[in-house]
Amino acid sequence: MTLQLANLIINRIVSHEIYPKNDDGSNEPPKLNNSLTILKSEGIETLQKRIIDAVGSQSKCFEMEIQKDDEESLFQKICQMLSSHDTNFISLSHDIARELNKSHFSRNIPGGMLVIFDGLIGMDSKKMIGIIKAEIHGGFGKKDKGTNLIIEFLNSLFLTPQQRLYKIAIFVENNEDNGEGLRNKDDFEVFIYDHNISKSDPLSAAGYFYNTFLGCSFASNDKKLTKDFFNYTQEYIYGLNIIEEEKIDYSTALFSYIKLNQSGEINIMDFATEYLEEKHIDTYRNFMTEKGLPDISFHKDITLIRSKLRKRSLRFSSGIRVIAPSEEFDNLFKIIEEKENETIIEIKGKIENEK
Amino acid sequence: MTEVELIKKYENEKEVYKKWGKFVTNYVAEQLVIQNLYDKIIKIEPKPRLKDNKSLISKGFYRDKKYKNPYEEITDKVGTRFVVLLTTEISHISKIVEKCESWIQSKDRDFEEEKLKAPEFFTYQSVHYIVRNKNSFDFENSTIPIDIPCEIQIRTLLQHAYSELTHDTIYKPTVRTTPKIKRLIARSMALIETTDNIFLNVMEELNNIENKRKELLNKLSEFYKSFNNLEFEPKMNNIILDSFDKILENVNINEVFKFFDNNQTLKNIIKRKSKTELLYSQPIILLLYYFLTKYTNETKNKWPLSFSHLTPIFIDLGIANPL
Repeated sequence: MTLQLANLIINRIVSHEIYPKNDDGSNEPPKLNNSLTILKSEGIETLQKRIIDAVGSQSKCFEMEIQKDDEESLFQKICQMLSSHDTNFISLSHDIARELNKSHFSRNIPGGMLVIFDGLIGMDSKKMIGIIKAEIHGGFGKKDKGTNLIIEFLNSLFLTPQQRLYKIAIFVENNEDNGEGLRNKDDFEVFIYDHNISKSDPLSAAGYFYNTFLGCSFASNDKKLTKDFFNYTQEYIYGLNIIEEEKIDYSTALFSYIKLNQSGEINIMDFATEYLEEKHIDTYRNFMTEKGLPDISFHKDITLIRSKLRKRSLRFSSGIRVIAPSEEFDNLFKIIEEKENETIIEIKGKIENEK
Repeated sequence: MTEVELIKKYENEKEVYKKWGKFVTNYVAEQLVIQNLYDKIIKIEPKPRLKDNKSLISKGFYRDKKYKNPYEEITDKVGTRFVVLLTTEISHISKIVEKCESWIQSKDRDFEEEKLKAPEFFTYQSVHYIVRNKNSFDFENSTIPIDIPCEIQIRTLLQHAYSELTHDTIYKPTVRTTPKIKRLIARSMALIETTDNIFLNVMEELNNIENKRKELLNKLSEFYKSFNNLEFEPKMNNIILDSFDKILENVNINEVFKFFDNNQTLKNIIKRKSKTELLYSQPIILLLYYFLTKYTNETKNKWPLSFSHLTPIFIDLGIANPL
């Protein structure tokens, strides 16, 4: 049970507006604010909720690795903000706004509000910086006028619960500054939420936020996480006190979740809510996190389990093994009846030879 | 003594009997109130009742049982009745009757003893006492002479139902009861005894749950008090606990405490919020933080109140809970 993102406290907020590229391909400079944004407690609470819903535990955010950490990098600017005075905080945020503006390499990338904040997070109140890019969209608002209800169109909404319309990154400082110039990227953890991040390679349109702008990349342990996800999920399924047929069904679900999932993203809560029965969801999540898997998303990389995914191999208590292609498994192998020490199965095909 | 003489004497003394019956009823009822038992166990309001003249004549002169002195020997000229739900509740009233200093009591009937003597029979069940005042005294403008009898009946609702059915049939027969009727009535008492037993099992189960819950809330309260002031509101805790019965089966309370000891900051959060929201002054809040961390999905599904109470806890714990 990690409470990595518990106890979020937001201190200073500054916001700027970023525009899409002009039709002629030139960049429109951002509209920069020179003062801090002050929100009332309700506003702060809503902002907290948006942040936690996007990058909290059990969310669909990714933990990423910082790639660019040179003197000119965005990462170093973010680090400077951590201990800066308000004026410095604001001017550094201007730099960040310009960087985001620059990263808009295509006219398809929409503008929006850039909200930058600092604060504390976790049980031990680590310092953190958060960066949100939120698209502006239209919606409706209501006003009570006496007994009348007036509906009005609002064209400048942002950070509504609609998660597709915002991207967020938080940089959490794990080890404090030792005062020796540039900061070490290993002293930080980065969590990024962007609804189409997983499909993207860094050079595609969706990659501009985490890669071009923030200088981050997918974590290098994706291969191992994908393998662990596969192995431990099977361990969990076969450890359940349910009939064999159900176990095979769950396992089939696991194969298709990994093989057919086009999003390139693996998320244990996603798998649990889509395929497992309600009563197993919490125990599955606890089992997986105890085995060291994150309860947020990670990038799918099947390098280490490619051969395992091709064949299903079932071992019976008597030592009999059935190996079958995982494609079409449901059509090739069926359990007809389960008895105490006997399983009646049906196999498509005829025996060809013996090895 | 003739029928006429008997009625004449009775008419003269009715007021005395009525008052004595009232005194006895009030005394027992008051004692129950003092012990906080009255509302809990009494199912029918007790009222003293005088025997009517006809029943007195009929009992004194027209039954197999021959009385030498019918007026003196008939001890239920006034009676009062306490009806409870469960056989185990009868003893509360017996104790009050037996301990009272104002009267001498004798137990006339005790169905537990009758069952031992005739275990093969299923018949009328009730506890009867006859109480007689030790001294003459004044009560509500009447002087009650010494040694006036009053019958106290104590029985359960089920036994009362049986008695209501059989009152005019078996004990004061107007028509001959057939063996078939007798058999049916005996069967009903057998069923009543069985039902009473089941009722007792139910109560026992409920008590078990209640005791477990009390123990849990006590432990949580103690822990809570170690870092903040508790303002216990039982109802709020019970509504929430009712919904989490299933999760609670698997919970080790020490794990909950360990969770807070490992995450001290949560105590500060609870302390801060308790100043503005009552929920955060309840022992149950400890379980909520723990449950939402460990059993996120189930807690969300079983949560009995508005989600607006749960959202801030999700945020405190840093757990995503989008739409």
